[in-house]
Parts: sequence; C-alpha cells; structure tokens
Amino acid sequence: MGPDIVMTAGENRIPRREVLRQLALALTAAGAGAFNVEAARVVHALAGEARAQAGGYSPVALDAHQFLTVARLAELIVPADEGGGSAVDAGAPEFIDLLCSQNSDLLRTYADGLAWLDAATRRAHDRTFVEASDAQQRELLDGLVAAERGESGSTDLRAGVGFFNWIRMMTVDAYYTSPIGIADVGFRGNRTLGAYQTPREAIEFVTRRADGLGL
Amino acid sequence: MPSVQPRTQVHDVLVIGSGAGGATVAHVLTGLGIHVTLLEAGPMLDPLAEFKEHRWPYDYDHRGAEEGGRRYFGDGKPFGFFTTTSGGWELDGEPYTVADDTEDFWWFRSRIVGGRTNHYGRISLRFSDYDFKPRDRDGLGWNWPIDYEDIAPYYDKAETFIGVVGSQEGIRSAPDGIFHDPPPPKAHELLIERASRRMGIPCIPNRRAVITRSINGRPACHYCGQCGRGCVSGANYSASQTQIFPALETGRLEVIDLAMARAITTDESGKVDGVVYVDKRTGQERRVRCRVLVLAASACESARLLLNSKTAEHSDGVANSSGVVGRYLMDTVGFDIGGTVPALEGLPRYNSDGAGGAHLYMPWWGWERQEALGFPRGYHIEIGGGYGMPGVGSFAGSARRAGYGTAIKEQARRDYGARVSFAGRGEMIPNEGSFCEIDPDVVDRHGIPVLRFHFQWSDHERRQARHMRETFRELITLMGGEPQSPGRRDASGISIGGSIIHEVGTARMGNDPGTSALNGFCQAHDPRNLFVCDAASFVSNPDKNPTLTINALAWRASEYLAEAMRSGEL
Repeated sequence: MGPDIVMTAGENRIPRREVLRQLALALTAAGAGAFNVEAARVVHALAGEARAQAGGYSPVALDAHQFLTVARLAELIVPADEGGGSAVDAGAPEFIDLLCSQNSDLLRTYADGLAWLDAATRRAHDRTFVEASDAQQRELLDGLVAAERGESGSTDLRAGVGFFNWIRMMTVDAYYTSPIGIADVGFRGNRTLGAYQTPREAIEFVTRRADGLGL
Repeated sequence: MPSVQPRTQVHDVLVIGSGAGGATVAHVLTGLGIHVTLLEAGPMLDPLAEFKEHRWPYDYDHRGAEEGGRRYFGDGKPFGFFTTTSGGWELDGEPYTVADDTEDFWWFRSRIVGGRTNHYGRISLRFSDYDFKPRDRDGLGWNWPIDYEDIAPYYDKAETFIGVVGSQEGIRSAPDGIFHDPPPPKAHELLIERASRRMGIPCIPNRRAVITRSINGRPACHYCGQCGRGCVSGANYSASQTQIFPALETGRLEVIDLAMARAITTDESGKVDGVVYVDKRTGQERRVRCRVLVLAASACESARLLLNSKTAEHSDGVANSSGVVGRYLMDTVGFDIGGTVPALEGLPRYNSDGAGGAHLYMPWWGWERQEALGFPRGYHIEIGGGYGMPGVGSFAGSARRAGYGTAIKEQARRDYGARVSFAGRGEMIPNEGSFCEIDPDVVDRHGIPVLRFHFQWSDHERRQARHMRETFRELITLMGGEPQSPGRRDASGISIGGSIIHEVGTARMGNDPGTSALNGFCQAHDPRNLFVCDAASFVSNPDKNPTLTINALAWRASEYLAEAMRSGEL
C-alpha cells in the first residue's frame, strides 16, 4: 500500500482521519497558534507512518505535509475501484516527488500549487486540504474541474486549474505506467511470440460492428 | 593507438555516413572484395547496452517522463524515452539556421552508426514506374535520368537482403516486390479496411523492413511491436545491425567513428584526393586520403560538405559547377488526423503489438484522375490504432474529459484501443524557394559553417493536404467516429518542412551536367571519383518513403563503382 494513511477508503484508516479532524477542530477552538503547532505535530507523526507504509520512502523534494497532500490528491484523482488499486498504490506520490527533486521549476509548481490549495481550503473551511473532510475536498476539486471547463465564474478557482492539471497529468501517468494501471486497461503485449494472430473473437466483434455501421 | 598510418596511405573507397546509403555501399563493396573506410560523425552503436526493447515504463523511476520530467516540458527525447539511439532535432554545438523567408524548417540529424535507420518507421515502398517521369505526367518538376527498369533489379536485391513483409497486389502506384509473408490485419484495421474499401481506396498489407522468416542468421520477428526501440535480435532492418556489423566481420571495413567531416580536398586535376575531418575524441583535425569518395551523410549534410569544399578547381564547392547543390530540397507532405471510434469500444482485449507499425496501409489510388482531383501527384495513408503499451501521456485526454475520480478509470478503459489515426504522406513538387545554403555568419562547435534553410510549400501541396483532411475525416466518420482536429500544424494544415524527416534532392541526378550534380549512377559529373549515395540524388520525392530507394540506388551505384575500379576507370 501507499503512503496515504490519512485518507484511503480502507476502513481501518477512516478513524485516523476523524481523529485528525476532531483534533484540528478542537485545536482551532483553542487558538490559532496552538492549532498550528499541534496540527504540525500530528501531520509529522502521520507522515512518519506514511514512510513506513511506503516501504521506507522518504520524500526528497516535498516536505511531509506536501507529500501527504499530494498523496491525498492522487487518491482522489485515481482512486481504487474493482478494476485496480489507486494512484497511490501505483507510486504516484513517489514519482512526483522524484521528478520534483530533479527539476526546480516543477518543484516550484508543486510548492506554489499545494500552498494555493491549502489557502483555498482555509478560506472555505478554515483548515488545510488534508484536514478537510472528504466532501469538502471533493467540492474543491469539483470547482477546479468546473473552472477548467469554463463552467465556473470563480477567478479564485481558475488560479488553481494550472496546478490541478499538472498533478492530474502526472498522477494519471504514474498510474497507467505501473503494473496495476497496465493491467487495469488490459494491455496484453510486450511478449515474445512465435507467430502473430488476431483472435477470432476480436475479428468477430469488429465484423459485427462494421456490419452495424453498414460498412 | 597513435596514428601509425603512413601519410601516403590511400584508402580505396572512403564512405562518409553509415545510414541506409553508406551502409549499403559498405556491405556491397566489402562483399565484392573491396576495402572500405567509413567515417561516422557519431559513436559506434551497442544494441545490447542501448536498446530498451521489452522494458516496461515502471522499470524506470521516471516512467519514461525522463529526468526531471523533461518530456512534460517538451524537452524529452524525440519520439519518446524508449526510442532507440538516434539523434535529434537539436544537437549540442551543431546549430543550423532558418532564413527569414521561411516560416520554419526542422532538421533531424543522427550521430550514430546506422544513422536514422536505427529508429525509422521501416516502411519500404518501391517508387512506381511513373514516379521516375513526373514531368512527362504533368509538366511539373523534372524527370529522373533512370527508369523503373533500371532500379527494379536493385529493389529486388535490397528487399531480398534486408527483408520486407508485403503481398502481391498488382497496383501500379505500389509495385510489388520480393516479400516475406505479412502478418494478418489487427482487429481495428479490419474496420478501417471496410471504411477504406467503401471509399474505393485500396487497403493492403503494409510493406515494412521486418522479416517473418529467418535470413542471414537473423531470427524472424517475435512480434513485440517495438521496432522503434531497436531490435536486439535484428529482426528488422537497421543499417547498423543488418549491414555495418556483418561488413565489419569481413575484415574489409574499417569504421572511424566520432569523425565529423569538414571538407573534401582535391588534387591539381580537380579529382577528389581525400577528406579533412575533426576527430571528436581529441578535437584535432585529421586528413584521410582516398581513391574514391562516397558521400552518404544524409541529403542536407552531404550538400553542406560539398558546399563547404571550395577548391581552386571547384570554386562553388565540389561537384557544384551546375549550382544545383543544395537546391530543390524536398520533404514529404504530412498531414495527420486521429479520432475516437465508439464502434471499437468493448473490443475484447488482445495482444495487438504485431510486427511493429501498422499491418495494413493504403497506397495511392488516384493516379489516373489527377486532373479531376485538382492537385498533382499522390499520397499514401499510414494507419494507427490498437492497444499500445501504456506510457507517459497515453491517457491525458481521457483524464481531461473525465475530470477526476473513478470517472478517469472508466474513461480510460473506454478510450483504450478505440482511437485510430491516419497519416497522409504525399509528394512535394520541387520548387525554387526550397533549398539549403551555407550560412555566412554561423559555424558549429568545430568551426564548420552551418546550413541555412529556405523552405516553401506551394499550393500543390496545400491542395493535396486538404484532400488528405477530407479523406481522413470521411474515413473516421464512416466508422462512426469523431475526427479530431490536427495538432501542431501551420494554417494550411501541412506539416512543418523537414518534420517528416524525408529531406531529399539537394544534389540531384540528371543527364545534363549543367542542371544536375550527379549522373544516373549517383556519380558526380565532375569530379568522377565522387559518388553521393544518400537521398541527395533524388530528382523528385514521390509519396514512397525514401529509404528503400536509397538502399537500391546505393546498391546500384556500388556495383557500378566496383566495376569502374576493376576496369581502371576509377
């Protein structure tokens, strides 16, 4: 499994997210300064656990909070379903962190984008993105997609679309270049064969479709 | 090893360049017992170490996005990380320039043993009989000094040796050859074939330089579809593996790699007597003497070398008394459209890798009704589709359409294998506005003056590209699909000059020394001990990818050259 302890659909992890949220809410009530320190401590602890979960991977370019946020975004962008695991299972956060470690422009894109995301979430819900509820996180991404499609009047969201495109593109690439993503779409090639044949069922399928089109 | 060669050593045949032309010359001449010395501007190729055949994207931490995600910034390896060692659009320290009258021109150069044949598409099409006499057909351009009958035996020899899949069809625009059995059509190609035939366009087995039975110690294709990565077992044609390596084993070929030719030298009679090159390992200039020189550095690189070789006897450059060297530069007219075809959604998944590239293609079908079509000359259609190995960028479009979440996965599953594409590859008419010349102000890292390109498409090509667009749209629409608009193109929809990597024509052959640089045997009118065996000799650029014709012309020139050496003429 990947490093997304706080956020996956795995039931044993949900309470952890609840703990964090309750903690965050309690600390918010206690005062902004205390909140920041305590939340940072919790996030740090969770990131440590994330490294353990990821087989010891320590982010080299992103800090722990950024890495957790990337992991949560990757989980939302390509979640697990019956066809395969998630982008986190496919190593998307590590992929992104690695490339950021080799490219300062890319790292800046992520640092700025993740800061924008936290700021936008704070404005809407008074917490960072990873602290927000599942519904609040999806609401933000829904807004970004709407803005991308020109269906939103919010100039505030439009500012985040560029970053969203980056992380979506790289998350999707990480997933479909992994063994689970390749299996998900059903690629059967990259083999050594003695002869090439197109299977009869594929030929019959196409013939039916051609007939249906009147070709 | 220090240079122990006596200064007086004269090499029998010196070849510059190890691509389709130079390697064919090396193979044929060494086979005839002649010693060949070959200069290559790049390093020796090591297939086992360099080819990425059968590797998965996840074998690399960057998955194919390359270090720092270079590919995302448009700065990745041409044709992708997994493509074999070849070269690029830009080479460090080796610029070229584009003249102010020209919108853009791209020049792909290889610096490696085998040249661009290491990565090329391997489409191997004979020119038609009418392709050698284009001016007789429509009054445009010029005729070749040779006929189809002159080159046909050399197409036979080239196909037999390198190995080409194909089928006997009897179509005039696409003469049949000596073929290995072609692989059967892929599933999506059967749907394309039905749409094609509905439009009256022939759709036949593709002709590619891949072997489906073992020849010359090369095992048959194992159907991984990864020709562009380089085939470690050598089941496809590459000049390096198919010709250079076996020629080295004869003991009659010496390859001097990392040797960038600077200039040709001539003696007091005007005959070529050697070449000055830069040894890239040391940066030092060296001189090699020869009896016969064969240029095969690529059409434009050979023209550059000729133009950079101004001697007392050849004041405008060697072999350029006619002034045609550099002129009549042509590329192929390129126009591509893809589309998603819902009828292919739900097709049972299968291994569609095949023999690399498409298993079918569409040869030109309109040669008898050019006037009605409203443009001269023709094009063939290359088709794409199937279940390619997922890679960086494969599902970016699916992701954009879906937004985020499980919708992306569902969209990707629908889209995978449901996309087809058509690439038109058409004939360009040579024109006065398309040429390369020496830029008087720019030199490369070795101090060698560089090429400046002028390039113009004419209305002939623009009308042809419009016809491609309408044809491809109709094909996709007939299949129930939605044609997508083409990508990086100029306003007319045509490819950028040079971008199809079929540059030809810069030292054309002809019977008249006043209007051509070479005779029909690729031999310079003056000096006679110089041959040009790359695509510089082309008089026209038919819609047939040039490599097979480079092979055949080089083979024919080599036999002629060997006989002239034997008879003492050279």
